[in-house]
Amino acid sequence: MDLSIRDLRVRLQDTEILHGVDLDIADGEFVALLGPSGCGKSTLIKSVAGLLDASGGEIRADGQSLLAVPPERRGTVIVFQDLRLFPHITVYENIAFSLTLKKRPREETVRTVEGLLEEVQLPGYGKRRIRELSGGEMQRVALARALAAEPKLLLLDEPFTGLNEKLRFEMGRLVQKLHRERGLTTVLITHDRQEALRLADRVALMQDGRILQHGAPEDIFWHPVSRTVAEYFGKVNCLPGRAEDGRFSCVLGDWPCDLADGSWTAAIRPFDMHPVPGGADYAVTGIDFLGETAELTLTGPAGAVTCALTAGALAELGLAVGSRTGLMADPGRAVYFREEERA
Amino acid sequence: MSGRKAAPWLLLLPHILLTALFLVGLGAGLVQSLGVIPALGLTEPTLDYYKEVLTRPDMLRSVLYSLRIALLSALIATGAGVGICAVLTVSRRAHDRLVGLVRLPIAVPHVVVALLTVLLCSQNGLLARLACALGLIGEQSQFPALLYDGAGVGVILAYVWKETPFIVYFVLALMANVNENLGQAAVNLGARPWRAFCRVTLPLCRNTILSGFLIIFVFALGAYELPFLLGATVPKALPVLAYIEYMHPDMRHRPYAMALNGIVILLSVVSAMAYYALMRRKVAALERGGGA
Repeated sequence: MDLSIRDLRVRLQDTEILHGVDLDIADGEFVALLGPSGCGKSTLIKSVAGLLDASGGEIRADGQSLLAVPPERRGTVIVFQDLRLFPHITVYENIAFSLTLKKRPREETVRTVEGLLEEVQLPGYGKRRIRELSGGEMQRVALARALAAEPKLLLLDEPFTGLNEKLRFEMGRLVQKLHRERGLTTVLITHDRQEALRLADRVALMQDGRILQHGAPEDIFWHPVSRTVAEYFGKVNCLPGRAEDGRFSCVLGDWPCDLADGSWTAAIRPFDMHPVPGGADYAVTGIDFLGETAELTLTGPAGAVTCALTAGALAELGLAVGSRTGLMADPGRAVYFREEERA
Repeated sequence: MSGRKAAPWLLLLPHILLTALFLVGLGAGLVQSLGVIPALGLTEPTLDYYKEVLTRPDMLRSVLYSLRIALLSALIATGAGVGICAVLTVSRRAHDRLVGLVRLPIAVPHVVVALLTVLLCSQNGLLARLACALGLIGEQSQFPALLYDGAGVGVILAYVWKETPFIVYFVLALMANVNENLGQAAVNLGARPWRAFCRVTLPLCRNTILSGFLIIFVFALGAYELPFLLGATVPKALPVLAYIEYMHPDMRHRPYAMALNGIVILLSVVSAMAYYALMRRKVAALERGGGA
């Protein structure tokens, strides 16, 4: 399903939650909808599924408006955050729910449900009660139930919440595999940026009821359109400076740039900032040892700056809290913002 | 006992006192039903009062009359109440202020309901006059005798008017909540709203609906106002018989009243046990995976 959302506005109890969302999702695409809690992600997919009414704007699927189509006929199936498995029926009956609505022959239903249980790695679970399942198993059943409904658009509303890291990773891979094998169009809501970057073809970042940026994971990471987007995907060091005649100058030096003359802020990721042996302008004021990597806080003329380096590099430099060092920026991947661009 | 440990007991104290008061009253009634009222010189326990009451010629008819009123009132009120809840839930109007109006009759006393029923349903009532004025009947006496009849139609109508809102009050919040969550999930999977309601929401509300039904049934079995004011001369409902015996000028009739109350309690307890047996079967069926 090819989805096009234009200027979508949704009100809940007299408060506007979505303030004009624009989003395009191509057929077969896996999109991660990323954003902090309460930014309107769930409201957006519930509106697409017809469970909430739009107060303005347009939602089109394959060119046809969905707004007048009742939710049961939209073909947009949600795996809810709280899963919403039916507790009074078995796993089999849960998965077969949509098939019995369509009055599929019994043999076909049995075959489909058993096939889906295999796909979500729960063979033989059909007769179990929902309350007999673990959290991870419930999520697999919810996924199988959604797939049984043959969704044109599969909407996953933070379905991995509450799982441990390993299960979360496995579920993510399973969803990605099923998405590819079945040629689905999938939207995954998450507030885990690594999950979004790892799984999706494209990532849409939402905040306060608006889409801030929508693009391929590498694109949104390396070319954020605002400081807010840049900061959402990890730490950045913001260095105020000036662009003049094709050169940007700040406290760490100057380098060529392609900017209009004026005041700009350069945003540089911690792994593009390097301690330089021999220098003494910066004091090491903090070290966060993270195992394979470490983050150093250096304080000096540029204020407090974060550098990321491998644990091996840190050992070679022999830095400790209180040591002094020089600092060099690798500006090749710097992104520049006007201060007023902060969303 | 430390203050922290005593706190729950202190908080429970009003409830414990009320329960104790109820149990003492119940015990005193049962003792009196066995003919033990020392103040009247009756000190020997006996089952004679039960025997006499149970062998009264009108007893069986009274029991059947009481059961009929209680069962039909509870069935019709539950059906109507669930129907109203269903319409409000599926049309997503369960949180409207109008729902407050539906619940209004809960606050009206049963005696007032009896008077309203007389005003509306008697052969001199509004409905009879309306039917007459519209030419549906020749004269008011042709209007069906709904009150003071052996079938208990008037009593049942009054109970239905009074208890249907109770079911709405008892069931609606849960039903709306289930429908908002699991019902919505069913619609999302392709079920039309009413189909989702019947296949998911209603089965999940069954326990609450059955509880509401039982409360009304047991209440209608034990309450005397409506059958006393709107019921037939013969047969009389069991609580009415008990009331008459209780008000008898000869205090030595008191054990008959208590024996009749004992029979009402027995019927209520049997109903409650049947209900719990039913519930256990339902739970067992759920555990086996038989569905709702």
